[in-house]
Amino acid sequence: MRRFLSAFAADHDTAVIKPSALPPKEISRLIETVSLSIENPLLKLKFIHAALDRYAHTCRVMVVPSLDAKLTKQVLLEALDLLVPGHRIIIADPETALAAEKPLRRIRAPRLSQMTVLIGLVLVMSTTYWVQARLGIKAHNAAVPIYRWATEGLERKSESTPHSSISAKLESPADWGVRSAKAADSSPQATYDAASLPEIWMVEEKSGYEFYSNGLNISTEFAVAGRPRRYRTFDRADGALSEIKERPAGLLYHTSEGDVAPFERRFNRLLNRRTRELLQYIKQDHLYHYVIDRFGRVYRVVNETEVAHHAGFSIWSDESDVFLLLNQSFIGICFEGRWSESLNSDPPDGASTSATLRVITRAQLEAGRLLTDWLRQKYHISDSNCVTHGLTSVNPQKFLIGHHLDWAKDFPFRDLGLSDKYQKPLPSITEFGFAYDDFFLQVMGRPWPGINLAMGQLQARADRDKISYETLRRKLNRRFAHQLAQLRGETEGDKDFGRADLSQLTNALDGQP
Amino acid sequence: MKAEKETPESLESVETTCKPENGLAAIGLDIGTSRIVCSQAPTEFKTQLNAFIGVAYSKFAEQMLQRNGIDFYRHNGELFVLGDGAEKFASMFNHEVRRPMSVGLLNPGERDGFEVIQLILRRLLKKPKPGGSKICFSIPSAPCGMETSLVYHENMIKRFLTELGFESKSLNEGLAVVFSELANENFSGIGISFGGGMCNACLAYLSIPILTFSLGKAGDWIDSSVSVVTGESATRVRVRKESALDLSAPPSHKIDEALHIYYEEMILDLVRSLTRSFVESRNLPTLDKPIPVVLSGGTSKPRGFREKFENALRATNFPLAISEVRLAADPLNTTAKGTLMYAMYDN
Ligand SMILES: Nc1ncnc2c1ncn2[C@@H]1O[C@H](COP(=O)(O)OP(=O)(O)OP(=O)(O)O)[C@@H](O)[C@H]1O
Ligand SMILES: [Mg+2]
Ligand SMILES: [Zn+2]
Repeated sequence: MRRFLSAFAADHDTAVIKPSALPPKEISRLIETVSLSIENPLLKLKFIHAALDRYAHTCRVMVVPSLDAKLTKQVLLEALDLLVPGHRIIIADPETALAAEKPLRRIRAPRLSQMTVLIGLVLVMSTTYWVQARLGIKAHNAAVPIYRWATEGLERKSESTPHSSISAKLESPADWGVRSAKAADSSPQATYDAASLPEIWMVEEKSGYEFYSNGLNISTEFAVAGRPRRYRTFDRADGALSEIKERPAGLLYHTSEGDVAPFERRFNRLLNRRTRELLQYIKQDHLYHYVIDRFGRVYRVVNETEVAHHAGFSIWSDESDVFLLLNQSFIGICFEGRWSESLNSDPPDGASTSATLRVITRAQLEAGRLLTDWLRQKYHISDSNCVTHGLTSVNPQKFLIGHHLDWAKDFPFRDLGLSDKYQKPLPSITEFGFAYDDFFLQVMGRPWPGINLAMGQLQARADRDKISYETLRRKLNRRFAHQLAQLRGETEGDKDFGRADLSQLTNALDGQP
Repeated sequence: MKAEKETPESLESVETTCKPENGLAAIGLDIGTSRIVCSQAPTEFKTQLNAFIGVAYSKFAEQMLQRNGIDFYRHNGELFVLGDGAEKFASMFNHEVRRPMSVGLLNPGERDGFEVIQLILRRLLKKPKPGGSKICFSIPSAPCGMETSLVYHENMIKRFLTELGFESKSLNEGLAVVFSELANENFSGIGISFGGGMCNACLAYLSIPILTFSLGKAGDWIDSSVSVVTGESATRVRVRKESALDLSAPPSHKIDEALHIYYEEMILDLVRSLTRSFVESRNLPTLDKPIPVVLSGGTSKPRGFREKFENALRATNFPLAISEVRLAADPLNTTAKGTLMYAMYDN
């Protein structure tokens, strides 16, 4: 930290440091939370400096959205560690010991027992909980925006020039990923048909859980009543608005993106605690229908026939229908885990189980399969409507895909008995002319094959209609705004929809050729 | 799945202390216009007025000083009385003391100034420990246009401390106040020192100085302004100010009346300039909590000062939300305490 401070300690200017050099609010708040529990002023000062310093080091190499939570924890622990040698730490809450593994060992070393520090380590628990609450779960909704904030400079410019047909041409889908796609697609269609599964029935229902014949065990301890589903879809061919529907049409997979404890025996208690906190939070805000914890336990939160707020602005379509605002029509399944964990690994693939297992545990994968099978069978959900949040989430104002990115790659479609949606032309592009921007590329490395396929289709269509790709895009963008407007009355209670400023959206479009 | 039981073994409480376990001895040094304060432990302060008086050498004067137990030095045919003794001597002979520093920095009009500071420092500081001793000393923010003088001031002190065998570093006075007083607020807030030569302020967030600021109007300015309008000597004004001034009650004396006026003027000027520099700074972070303001320094000591300052602050359109305005625990030693903390930092 010396570097950080000495540069300023004797600074003679009125303005000493730019706030931009300070970490984002979320991080500062976290540092504050921790340091509030440190009583010794000097140690507190050292801790703050160390934390800021670590942060300054680390944030430069941060390339991943929603990494903040993990990073911060690491930053804080390192900072603490710096203080620990030669000092005694008192841990207020014994349970935090689990998380504060290192300092704890130090405490036990006898020769260090004449020491001085008093750190009310409500810390790691309270903060990680805090992280989880602020950055994590909510950040499932907020993490990417947080990152966006951090890369603002980079991003603003690029958003005005979304990538469109150019990259579709440059990066032909043949480059990569297609072989696996072919392999997947050539396997008999029946594989993905839920009707072909042996019948699954409820074996037993007790207070607190339901047990099914395929081994699926659903805890209902956290179940909460919601608002019934009522939604309409658009006909893919002619855009006609459908009747009101109430049956769940698809499955949408998420990750919690919250802070997760290492999957090790010694963190058992912490793992459990995190899950409980996550569930409480999800229950409170009706965020998902199902949660699958690190041990593969399945929890029902919101009933499938009711609405959960998991999808935000989102687009999907099957062969016949186009779905907008998937909260209304899809069942949200959240894997407790951090998808962003897999980001620095390989290019989007969708086929590699090892990449998937960086995000979720094998137990989660297996539970995910059981839950998927049962839900698909129960509601006659077709394979084509089993998709991930990252594939469907959009920014409607800017007509950009990838607003949320959870499971934008590495989702184990095949392991769940589903076809690989990364290989399917992306509906938000084919139907509504959405695009991606530089930010998306920064995070993803490259678009998944379905994006290129979709752009290729759009380009072909533009060529056929003898208009430019851009003109076609605009036309489709307008169609999106129009359709969204039609849903307005239908989805009154939907808070995501409520947030949309449609007039702004249509204005933006009116200015276009 | 059964959870393992894990309980930390010993959780008995231990005392906290700021003393370095090992490493260098640490010393905090507040080199103020009016007083030099030295601190080697959080509650231990030694102080000397940063003043001197010189009289032409004579046997009589020498005996007089000796009889009164006042330390002095013979210097170039003069007798120098330093620090607190200078005050006594001055009142004895109805002289004005001379000041090695003015407005926070080495006084360019005082030829012997730096030498005097050296002598005072030698008196205050013990010899460096064999393992080495680390000193952190306070420096003000340079008033506009005085940046080079600050560089000179800082380096002269640094050099001298090095000569004495200390490792040294400097710390902005406003930030020292933050370090000393705002630990409970995670070192976020505004620290202000109202000294003799100047007022120094610093807005810090998580101990990082966001903005520092100084005003060359403080105790000395009040003394000399009151002296001008009342015809009393600045020293007598100061003595009255330090012993009897109550800003919470209406003034009952001519000197008090003038003191009230200049106190108010100083406060207003500070609040206005501070507001302006905050408003003009495009660097202000958005803070989501109101922040505290801590007042310190000798000039903040009179009764009613805090209230007067808070009223003035609340009356302006200050760009940051303020949670409270409070007085430092020990206003005369606040800066020294902050520097000590920063001196101990590296241990
Ligand atoms: N009780 C008191 N009431 C009013 N003023 C006081 C009191 N005690 C000291 N002062 C004034 O405070 C000033 C000295 O304060 P302090 O020691 O904080 O300043 P300094 O650090 O030497 O100066 P600077 O910080 O400006 O360089 C003098 O002007 C002195 O007259
Ligand atoms: Mg001072
Ligand atoms: Zn999601």
